[in-house]
Amino acid sequence: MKTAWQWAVVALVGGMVLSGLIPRSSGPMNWEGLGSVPVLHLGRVKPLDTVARSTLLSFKGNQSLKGVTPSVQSPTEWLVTVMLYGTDDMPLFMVRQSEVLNALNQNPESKPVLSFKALLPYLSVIDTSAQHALSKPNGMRTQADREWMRLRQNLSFYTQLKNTAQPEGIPSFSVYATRYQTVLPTYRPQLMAHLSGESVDSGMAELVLYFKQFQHIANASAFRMCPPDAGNGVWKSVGDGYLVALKDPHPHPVAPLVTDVLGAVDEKKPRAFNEAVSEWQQVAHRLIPTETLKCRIEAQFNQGDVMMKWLMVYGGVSLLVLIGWLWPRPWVFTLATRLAWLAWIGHTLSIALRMALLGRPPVTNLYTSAVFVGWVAILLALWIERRSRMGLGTLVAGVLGFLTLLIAHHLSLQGDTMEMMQAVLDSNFWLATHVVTICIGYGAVFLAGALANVGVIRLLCRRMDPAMKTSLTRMVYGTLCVGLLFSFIGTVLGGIWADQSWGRFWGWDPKENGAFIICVWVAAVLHARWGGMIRERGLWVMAIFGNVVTAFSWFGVNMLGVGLHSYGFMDQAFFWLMLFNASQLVMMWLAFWPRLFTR
Amino acid sequence: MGIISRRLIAFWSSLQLTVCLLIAMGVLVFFMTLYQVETGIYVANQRYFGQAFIWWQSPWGDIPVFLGGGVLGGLLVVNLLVAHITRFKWTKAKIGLWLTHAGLLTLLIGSGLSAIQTIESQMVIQEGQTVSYSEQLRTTELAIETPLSPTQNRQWSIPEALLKPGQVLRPPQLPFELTVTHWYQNTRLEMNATVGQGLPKATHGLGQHITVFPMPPILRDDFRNQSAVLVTLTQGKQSLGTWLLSTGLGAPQSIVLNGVTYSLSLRPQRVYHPYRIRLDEFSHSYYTDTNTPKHFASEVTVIEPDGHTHRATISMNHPLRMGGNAHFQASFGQDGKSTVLQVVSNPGWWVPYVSTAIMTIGLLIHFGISLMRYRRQHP
Repeated sequence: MKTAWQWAVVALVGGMVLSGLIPRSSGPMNWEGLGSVPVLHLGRVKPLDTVARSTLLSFKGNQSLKGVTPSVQSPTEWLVTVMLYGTDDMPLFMVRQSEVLNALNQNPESKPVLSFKALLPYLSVIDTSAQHALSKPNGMRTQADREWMRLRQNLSFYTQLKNTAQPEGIPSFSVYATRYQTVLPTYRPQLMAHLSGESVDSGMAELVLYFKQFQHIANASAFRMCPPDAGNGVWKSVGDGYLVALKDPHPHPVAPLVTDVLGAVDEKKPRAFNEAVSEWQQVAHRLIPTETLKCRIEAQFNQGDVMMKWLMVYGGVSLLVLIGWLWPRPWVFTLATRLAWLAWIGHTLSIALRMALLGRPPVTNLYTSAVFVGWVAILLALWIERRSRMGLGTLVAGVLGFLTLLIAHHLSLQGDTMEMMQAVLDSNFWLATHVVTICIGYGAVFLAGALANVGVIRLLCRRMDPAMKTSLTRMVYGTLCVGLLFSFIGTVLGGIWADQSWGRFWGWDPKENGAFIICVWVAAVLHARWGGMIRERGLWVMAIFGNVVTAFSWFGVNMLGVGLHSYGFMDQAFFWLMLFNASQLVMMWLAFWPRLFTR
Repeated sequence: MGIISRRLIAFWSSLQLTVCLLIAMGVLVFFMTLYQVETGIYVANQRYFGQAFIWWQSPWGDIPVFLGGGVLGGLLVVNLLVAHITRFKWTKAKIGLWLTHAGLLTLLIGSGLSAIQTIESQMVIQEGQTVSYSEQLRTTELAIETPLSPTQNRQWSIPEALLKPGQVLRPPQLPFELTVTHWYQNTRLEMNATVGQGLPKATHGLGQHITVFPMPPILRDDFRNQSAVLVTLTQGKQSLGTWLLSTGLGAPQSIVLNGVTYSLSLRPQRVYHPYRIRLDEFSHSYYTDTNTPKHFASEVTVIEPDGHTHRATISMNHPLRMGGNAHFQASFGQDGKSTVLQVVSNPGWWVPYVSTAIMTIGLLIHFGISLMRYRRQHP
């Protein structure tokens, strides 16, 4: 077996990526275990780890944990620290908008991340401005309005977090919680009488105090930690979990466990912590076994960060092919192709896992569209490689995999990528047909553009023989045909969905326009080819422009909605989109380099 | 055949023309999309598709800068027809192409026709209320109502197009005539205003205390104009006074003549239906702790013209189709006790289904044949 060592390399890379998924403990305290317990946040049951990560992302746009004292190692540990002590000194709130920054006496150029303490003097300004923005109709809000609203929402969520597991400013809360449970059985009838307005003796004062605290955290809670235990599917906050003890003999089993976990962190007792975590996991498993398992997988998936690793493998594949072109050895290409298939299989499994966790078709938002468009383009590219074996398909697979997963990574920085679907989109049938077909169309048109890009570069480097040029032209042509077919069918399915939902097949809304432009552009390219108006160069150049057209309808259209000068992600994304478009225009221009196609 | 007509045919059947028209379509739609950001979809659509040319309002007057979408579509139809009649041969290999183009022709012609025929309106119903009409949001009408019996009204409605200053309206069987003195597309109404003394005012009704400030019309889809009209009523030679009617004034205003009450109002133009719809219950739910709607639905009872009733549920992606109209769950009231249904009458709704199905089959056949030929040549 001459290629045995190549398979060994492939197995080694696969093993390295997947080893991230093996649960391992990083210290005496089982933080990974705590990160995997299921909670209900923004309408979805998710592991605590996801709550921590998506909260960090929506506050500050990254998951860095700098500036917390005492220092924390994981997002889950940070979340627990917030619930226990608050992290008022940590730079946590990203503010991006010059008008807002001026009002906060910050330098608009500095792009600051501000701590809660730094924002404290401005709370009333933020509140007033956000209320004002909220009173405007949706279409009339400015960038500053949206930033005020976002900032207020984040600050209020942060305050809620500090009051989710226990009232703010009472680190030794576990003492109260234990007392509450001890005295409650004796005083229960009297407390009920007190609540219904009857006067009671002064011995009740202590219990009423506890009661008020639980009521406070029940109202302020940021997310719900007590899984449904009564068969009605209703999740409870920790406060409500304690308050049920007024009627039932015991509080909800998870509520005291939350207090135990936080108490153990406060007193730095790893054993008590690990026991409470494992009991919490058991209770969750007893109440909601399927969701608990899903959450455990999701938390593991978060920590393993596999998509990022496949991205690196795709990058490595691209480099290998380039090395192979400079230093031609057959084994370089076969190894690169095998690694590309490995990454694609991993990519596929990640998509499948996500579908299983969410119970949805592969594409539900912009993030998943990037992952899926890449997946389609890579599959087609690898299929081309199987037929041509010139390294072209593998290179394009590697580059497209790297780029689409990079885009996906940046899209994922906006928060939880498994958010719930709006009522109008809540149709698995249409998501599975229309959205998937459209994304296959995007993937094919991008692939055609990428092949043409590689062709132009090879021509410029004088590394192109006539056979390869002909075959490349045929690949671009065939891929464009696939692109037209799927874009057209996808657009039609979208029309049918719109007709079923709103009574109009076509309404010229921006997203429809984007799909329409792709269809007419590719149709124009193919007709120009059939009519002999363009030959090889024309086809390549038009295919490269197809990238610009597709990027517009995929991302450009989404940027229209928020205006071209928005903050944060879309601002950067707009810059990168323009840079991409510029690069494609340069490639088109380079294709007209003298004697490139006539030699 | 003369050389000129041969050249004409060559031009009209050429693929060059096809490619130019396709690219022009793409460019047009791209600029329309950008234009939509400022004006909303409706206005952009009017500007880019509703006219033969797209006009640029330059300092030297309006200059046509591009062909309108309808014209481009029409040229594409001509191009396609001429090419097929004169140039294309009917062969088995071309069957996919023929089907695709036949489907495209149906689509272009059909969608042009259905754009003219479609009527969209909204039906707002409170829980327990029964409604027999829907409202078109972009146009208003001047309505005059008088009671016939405790349960029945007689109505006259005058469409917005007739409400031009100086226009005298004599609806049949009304004891008075109306003269339009002022019409405003959009206004701001102010009670007991201290400024604006010179502006026209009503002499009777609510409008006596209200000053009408004209405003530029709002073009965007998500906002409504507050239109207003001032009308003078005359009976024979005698003036009965001037009334201010506006969509911004909630209640109708009445005038009593010979013991009969006539109520006047300016309201969104109504479309009356032969059936009536009662909202029994509106239900909606959100995902826990979020503002993301999970589901909303209207439980309704339909009362047919012959008195038969039947119940139905209208929800997202599940419209109620009846009497040539489709009723879609569009929105709901702030209090969660009323529903907003989008009522669409589109006799040509089937055109896109049929034509795109033909096109899809055509494309599949065409690319399928190409793929098989390629695989035969490159085994």
